[in-house]
Amino acid sequence: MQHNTGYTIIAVTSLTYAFKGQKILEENGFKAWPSRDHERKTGCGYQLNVKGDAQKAREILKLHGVKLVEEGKR
Amino acid sequence: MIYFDNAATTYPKPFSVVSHSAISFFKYGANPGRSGHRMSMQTAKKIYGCREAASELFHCEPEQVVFTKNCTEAVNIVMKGILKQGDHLIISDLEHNAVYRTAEALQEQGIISYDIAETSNKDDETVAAFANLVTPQTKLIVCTQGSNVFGIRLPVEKIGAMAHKKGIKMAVDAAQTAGLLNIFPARDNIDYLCLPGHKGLYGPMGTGMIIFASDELPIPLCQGGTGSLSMQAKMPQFLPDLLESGTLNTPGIVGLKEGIRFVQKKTPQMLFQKEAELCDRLEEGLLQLQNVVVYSKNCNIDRSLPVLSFNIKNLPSVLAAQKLDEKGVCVRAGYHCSALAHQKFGTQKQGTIRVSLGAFNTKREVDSFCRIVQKLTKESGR
Repeated sequence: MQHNTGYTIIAVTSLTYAFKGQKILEENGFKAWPSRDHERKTGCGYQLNVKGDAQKAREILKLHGVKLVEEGKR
Repeated sequence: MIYFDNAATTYPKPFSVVSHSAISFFKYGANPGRSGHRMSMQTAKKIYGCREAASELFHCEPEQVVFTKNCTEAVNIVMKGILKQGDHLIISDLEHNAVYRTAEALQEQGIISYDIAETSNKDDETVAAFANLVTPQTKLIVCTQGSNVFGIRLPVEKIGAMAHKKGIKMAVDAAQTAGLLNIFPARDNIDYLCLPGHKGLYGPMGTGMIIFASDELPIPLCQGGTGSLSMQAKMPQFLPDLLESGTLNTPGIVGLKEGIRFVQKKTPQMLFQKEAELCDRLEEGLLQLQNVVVYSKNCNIDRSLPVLSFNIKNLPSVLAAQKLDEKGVCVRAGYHCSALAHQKFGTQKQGTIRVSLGAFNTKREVDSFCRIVQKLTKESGR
């Protein structure tokens, strides 16, 4: 989801994956930071806020085993 | 004071462990993984930092690191969570009560049956002893990587290879080896590595871990809040959340990270080498004394750990330890929560005096200890 402040939200399954994803993305030149996911309907959860090519960021995260939450299952 | 009780918990802890644990009360005082405010997130990042450090040391991914309160809890989570009704379990004859009593309890409850493999000083015989006990119902092998009483190392990698060929899961109790041996669960045929944080990793007491190399996850012993998927009645089915309900031990985990960094800096190999040299010196010194029985042999990384058991003839081990304490020496005596090991060595009547070394022990302490024991043998011989 593209946020109106210019970053993309990528929902992850846990805070552990959020920190892992943040490190991986930063190593790949992205600016990323974790925060609580305010839109999560399945209950509490965390997200990664990513600046840059969101599609590429998702691919990198998946490649490194970071478990993402599909948009419909959020 | 001479502290030779490092197999129970290492002492002293590196200063960085103490200082970071203490600072966490001020800087990282919020609950990690629950809220979204800055202190909660910063605390959670410190917790993640420890997962990362552990993942580097044990060659796994950070999410494969699950925090527990100690190694006993880690062993219980694996055994009670993996074994189901009708399963068969094999353990070794050197197990700590963490494994032995858990196996016994599961059998008494009618959930499993279990057998005890007789270990040998020949790896092939030990592996064969496990293999001979395998039945079609065998689900899990739990084996110590090193005896906490006699320092004997067991070939868990080879036992694990045999287990995997037969579709059996392998859990290892690394209570005495984590921090001293280079352990690579995925390479070493270990599905579940259970370890304490407060022994060879020099973290605070109240810390432990399970390192997962298997996708087969235990049913959790404890259910509750994880800060994830909160509107679902079921526990999240992913690590580490599945097995980390409730608030974590932040001061302990923050300190544990520093302990792991201490081990990484020194390296397990160098720590082992130093302690092994001290252990050999100690053995040599004790063997020269009359009325002293030493149960351990030369410390060799393939065969043993820097843990030595001995007795002073006719003197009950607990009384000997008390007399050593009066002279400023901390050792553990008795049965070391390891009934099986004492039965195997025939020391169930007297127990043993155990000397276990750590990173901060010195040759001077070893030499002083030998002189103190010599004096004690003379006093007790009167």
